Amino acid sequence: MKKLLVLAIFLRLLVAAFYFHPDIKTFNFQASFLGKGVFDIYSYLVNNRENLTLKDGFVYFPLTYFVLGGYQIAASPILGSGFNSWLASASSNAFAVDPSIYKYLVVLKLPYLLLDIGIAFLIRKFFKDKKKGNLAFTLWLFNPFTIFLIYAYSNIDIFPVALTLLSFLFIRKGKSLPAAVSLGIAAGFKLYPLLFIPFLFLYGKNLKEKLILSVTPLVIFLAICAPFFSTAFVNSALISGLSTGIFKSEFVTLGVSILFFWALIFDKKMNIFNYWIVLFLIIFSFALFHVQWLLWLAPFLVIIAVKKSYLAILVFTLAVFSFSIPILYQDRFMTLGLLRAYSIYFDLLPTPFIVIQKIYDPANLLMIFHSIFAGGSLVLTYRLFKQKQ
Amino acid sequence: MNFVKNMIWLTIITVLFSVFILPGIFALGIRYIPYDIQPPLERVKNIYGKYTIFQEFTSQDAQLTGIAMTIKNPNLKNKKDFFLDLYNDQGEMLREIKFNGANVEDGSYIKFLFDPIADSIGKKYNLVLSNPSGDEEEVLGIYYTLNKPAWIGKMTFNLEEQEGGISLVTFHKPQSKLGVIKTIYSNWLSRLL
Repeated sequence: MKKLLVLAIFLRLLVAAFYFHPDIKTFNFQASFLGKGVFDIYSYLVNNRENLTLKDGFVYFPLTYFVLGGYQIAASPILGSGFNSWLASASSNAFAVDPSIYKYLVVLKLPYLLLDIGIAFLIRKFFKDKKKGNLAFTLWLFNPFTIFLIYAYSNIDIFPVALTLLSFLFIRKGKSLPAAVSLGIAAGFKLYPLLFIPFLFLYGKNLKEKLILSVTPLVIFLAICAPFFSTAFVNSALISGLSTGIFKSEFVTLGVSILFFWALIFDKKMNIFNYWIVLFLIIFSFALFHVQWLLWLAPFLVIIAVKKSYLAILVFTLAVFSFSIPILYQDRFMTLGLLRAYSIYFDLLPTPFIVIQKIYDPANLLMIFHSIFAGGSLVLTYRLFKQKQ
Repeated sequence: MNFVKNMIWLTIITVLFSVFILPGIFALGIRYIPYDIQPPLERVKNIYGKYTIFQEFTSQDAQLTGIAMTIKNPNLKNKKDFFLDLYNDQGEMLREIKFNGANVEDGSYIKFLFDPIADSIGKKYNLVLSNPSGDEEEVLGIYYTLNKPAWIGKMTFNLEEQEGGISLVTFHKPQSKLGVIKTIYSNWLSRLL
């Protein structure tokens, strides 16, 4: 097992060093202001937009800022003196050809590695059978999907993902308060765990547990956000595309509502784990999702694939299609743009969207992939709920 | 158990392939390479009607096959044809490339590609950018820089010499596909080691 772990870390470091997504530079540039004493990053970025080289607002929630900023301060001796000018560089070519880029990428992604390995150990705790626990541990460490999701796309969502998994582990052990606290802290990084609150309310066995599970995460989230509440915070984070994009599809609202009413009226013994999976299967089936969001579901699907091994192939197929969807977006950084740390020559190649456009409508192909994913999700949902009955 | 074993092999192969082989495969698709990175985008000159830009430059490599620059077209107002004419230092027109404003999103990086000029290395050229049928509402903004490299020469706007030069990039047809792959991997390794 130790050898496998070393190999898994080695593979991760390779992808971390050489695959570059510009988000990592943007949110680390913003987080670097913590080291300069900036507390309210939302207002600071809006008020100083004119003087900043990168002008984006901070779209994440406060804990992301403090954790990334704090880590940068701790890692500054390794990152070196040129790091801040690299972060602030607005020239899309100059920073990509900087010889230190590989060091920066590895150092900035080290917290991801810690959480990633931590998730593997958390997953193992979901199994009473040690052998199955080890299989799930191995499957988390050795699947190409999560490695690329986390390290190629510089996925900051690993923080809330680790915390939501921890929350489910507490729920499984009947510890409602720690579960609710973990979920609230996860929402302090990114809003999506709060989507699950209505289901947690239904899951509570009595009024006290219902209130602990549903109110505590909200209170913690509000307490984290309260010091930053301003127009800048609302516009940058709370109602940004990242927070509200999910509900742009009415099918998502419809599907989530059906799931909620099913739980409310028919399901008297809710398997809360299955509801989490189905909630996000609905979202990914119908919403135009960011590739990074797929990580929200990944550890839960690994657990399912091991617990119900007959579903492993279906889960694998869904992973392939869910990955194929963002590749078809008209966004260089879903595909070829990730190779800019090798060479900026890759900017000269057309994206898959452009190539496919020459022979077929990529938007139509996207819909086909979404439909296939939705079909597979429906079968998985059926099997999860049928198994329970 | 077998599924997990297969996934271990799939992961190892996918990662090693993606890190070491995939860039080489994609490099096979590169048909032209830039001489240098684009100079900074600092200021804009608007071209329309009789207002044209002349720019001198010296090609730093053989097989000149394209020129790229960043162009403003606010709200896609310009939907007319505009031109890049390329002259040698004798004043003979070598290439004329037509583009339509409808295909130029505001601030986009536009590549004017043409048949390669084989013996271009070290030779001086003039390019002329014109938007003859555009009026004041249909201007196209050409980005230029005050910090130009030495190979970008004199810029003239409305027949008056200007400070700086267009933030342009020249493209050159590679000698061979293998040459591109070698360049990419050697640049990568030189930065790595």
